[in-house]
Amino acid sequence: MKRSWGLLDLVTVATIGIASGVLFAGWNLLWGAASPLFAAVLPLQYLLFAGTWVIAGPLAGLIVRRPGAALAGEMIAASVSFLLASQWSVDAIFSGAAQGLGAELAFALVGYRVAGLRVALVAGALSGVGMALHDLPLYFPDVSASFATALVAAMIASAAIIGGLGALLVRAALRRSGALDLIGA
Amino acid sequence: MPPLSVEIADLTWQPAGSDRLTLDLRGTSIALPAGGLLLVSGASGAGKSTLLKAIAGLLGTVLPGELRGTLLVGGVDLVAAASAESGIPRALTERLGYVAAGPAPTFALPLLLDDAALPLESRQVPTGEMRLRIERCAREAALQVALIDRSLTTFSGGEHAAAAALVALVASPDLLIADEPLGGLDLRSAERLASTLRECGATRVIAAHDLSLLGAVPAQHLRLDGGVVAATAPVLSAAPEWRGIHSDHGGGVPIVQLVRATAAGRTVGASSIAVLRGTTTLLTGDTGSGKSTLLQLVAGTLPVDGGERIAASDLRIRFAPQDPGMLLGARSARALIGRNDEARAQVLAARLGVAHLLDISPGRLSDGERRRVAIVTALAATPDVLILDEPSGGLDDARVATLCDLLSDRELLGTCAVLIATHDARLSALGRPEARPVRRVHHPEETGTSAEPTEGGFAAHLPAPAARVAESAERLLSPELGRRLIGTANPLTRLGLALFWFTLSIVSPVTPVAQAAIALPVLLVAWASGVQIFATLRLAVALTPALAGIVLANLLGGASVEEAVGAGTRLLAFAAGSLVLLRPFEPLRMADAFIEKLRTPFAPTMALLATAARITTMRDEARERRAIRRLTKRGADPLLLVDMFDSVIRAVPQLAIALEVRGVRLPTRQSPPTRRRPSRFGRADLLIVMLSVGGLLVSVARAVAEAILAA
Repeated sequence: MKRSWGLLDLVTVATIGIASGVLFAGWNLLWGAASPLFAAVLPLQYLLFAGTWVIAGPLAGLIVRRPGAALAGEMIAASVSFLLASQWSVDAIFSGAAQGLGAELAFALVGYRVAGLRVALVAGALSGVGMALHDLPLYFPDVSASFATALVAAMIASAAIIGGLGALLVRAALRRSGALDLIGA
Repeated sequence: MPPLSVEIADLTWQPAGSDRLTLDLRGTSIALPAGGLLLVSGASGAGKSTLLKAIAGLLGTVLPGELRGTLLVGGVDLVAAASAESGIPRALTERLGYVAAGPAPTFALPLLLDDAALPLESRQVPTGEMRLRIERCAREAALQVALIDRSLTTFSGGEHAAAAALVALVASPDLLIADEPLGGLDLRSAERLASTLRECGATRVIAAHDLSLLGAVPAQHLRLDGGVVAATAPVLSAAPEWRGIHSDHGGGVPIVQLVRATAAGRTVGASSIAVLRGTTTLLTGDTGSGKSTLLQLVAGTLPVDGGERIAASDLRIRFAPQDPGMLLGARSARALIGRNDEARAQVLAARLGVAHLLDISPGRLSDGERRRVAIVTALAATPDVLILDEPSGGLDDARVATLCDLLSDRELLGTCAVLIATHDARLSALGRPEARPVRRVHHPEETGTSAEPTEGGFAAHLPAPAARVAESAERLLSPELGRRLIGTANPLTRLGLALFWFTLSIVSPVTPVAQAAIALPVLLVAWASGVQIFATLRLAVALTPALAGIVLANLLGGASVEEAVGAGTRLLAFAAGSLVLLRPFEPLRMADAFIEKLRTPFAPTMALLATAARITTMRDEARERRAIRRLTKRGADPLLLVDMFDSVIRAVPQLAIALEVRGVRLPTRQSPPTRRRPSRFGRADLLIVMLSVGGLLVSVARAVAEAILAA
């Protein structure tokens, strides 16, 4: 693999980020609409929905195996969701950064060489850790320890399954369709 | 600078993921002197585009795969560069003009003026010269000068072709590479552009199906077939002409009828047309006259905005659009073919020579193959109405003959009403004496289309009363007067303020009063910077339940009432901060501000924001794809998620190439690009900064008052 980032890599990461960002913007609305239903069982809402918000990091990292791809992908997605109207304002970018750093860490740990099921799951789970580290102090500063534990567990599980495994499935479908050959991934 | 010479010997290319060579020039050597002309011809999928991309320095550098043999352009060894560099070598980029193949060649930026300025900005042409040069090149490329201020999404196929030539010519290249530059152009425009290409002083490599317009000057010829050289002598054929088909032929019963129908947001006047049972209707007309829009209206994939569309509701309509990918999506064509139609599909596929391709993902096929597979898919369902947009694009004469044979088969098509938009006179073959009835409708004269375009903005997508309410609400919420007086704030100011308010909200206590004191002035600032109704409403919809949710969740999680309401109000303060930056969302202005004020590197910033500028296109395409798929009622996954990722990733190489050949990697920190759209701070910025400072003062005063009261 060549050393420097080319325009193909840049446009790929930007595209994954932006397409995911459009998805996130829609997801924000869905999340908002579902909120009152899940208020009593918030961890369940996180388990069912939250993982979608971290899919851009693992997906970008799995497709463009270069340092920074996962972080950039997730941050671009978060920024786009913010620019398209998000109830979390600029904070969307910071939570994107926290989640993206988690995913990036997973790819860095294997030196950006392997990108299979295990890396995808770990990237997803670490994104979930990033989400927990960011969300908990900001949105739930005064909740009890047991509630917080349930939230964190839900975030990590959701991120690993929807974000990590989901990204892997999307990549598999793209590989079958031949789209990834065009960008050499 | 002098033109560049080209030397090619034993060149081969194997794209990543492929097990065969798509270009195999072993045993062939070509020496094109500086200023010479090389004409490359051959059928679709013969390797013309691949050879042109090789000479442009794109293979191995931008596009992944393996390039071998000898390829020297202006002395630069492109085979060595292929394995070492991740872009076209600098010395070549500076002097290159490249026209990508149609039907709609990819542009880097949405407005033609911006896109055409990009090569000039990259090459540090002074800002004042840009417009003049672009206008001059528009004339040379047979494009109406008035079009350069328009968005490329409103361009027809032929206007796209002329615009692509404009962009390639604008920086006066020493090497011009053009892939089907005349595709989609009407004869007069094609002649004009051909003469420009013939007379231009650069070394030229041009690929074309039809060499009759270009072949009158001394040139080297190369005819490719299946990636290998078939001939090196010119094979000239005369341009085909329409013959034997008249507008009054047929006389069947109308099955779908448009009566002075218009489409929202399209620059086409009201049109009328009748599609007749058992008859083939050929819709012909000049480039840019809006044939594709008319087809979409007939198909029902584009809602009729004014006038009428008369059709039974249970008609089986099948539509193969100009871009076959819109119909086919990411999976194999088989997924779109009903179980009962499989035998028929197999017969059709065999006749069109694509029987072995139905199980392959369409993305792995060539352009011409995809087009034929799309026709098979559409025709397999025995439709009542079959609509084909430019079905012969990318097909050679023999394939067009087979296609005409199929489409004039009385038995096969039965009472099906066929509507074909084309400017390809080779389809005259449909009018053979023993064939099914064919009539020709010339657009716009015979469709009664007036020249005036119908105007339509975002509100035009809504039903009439809703649109009126939305319009007046939009006027109220984003006062046009205010915007005219103070202008729109610089995206950087808005981003900075959103960050400022966010931080203020974080450092303030999580109490309802403190957070509300932040939310209020932010809403004022948002109003002053011209917030749009749709984004606001969407946010409000998302926010109401979200607010209730977070308050409830905090309460149930053990927080006190004040803490819970405080957390809810903080979310409101955040959302208010988001409003500051919300609208207008202008990726390009943001790119300009980042490049100019923050000195971010040109190539990544342009790559990111050129991609972001496609969000609207991305959404329109998703909508269109859903509408087209809805006709088939098959093979559509609920979110079309994979289809979405597939189509956006498929577009990546074209956009990367578009940016690369415009030279966005040329500017460096030492030699920054010139800017056509200078990024400025103005009254609007001053106003919203002052409002924010006011808000900060209020916030501080409140905190101080609270402290005094507490003491």
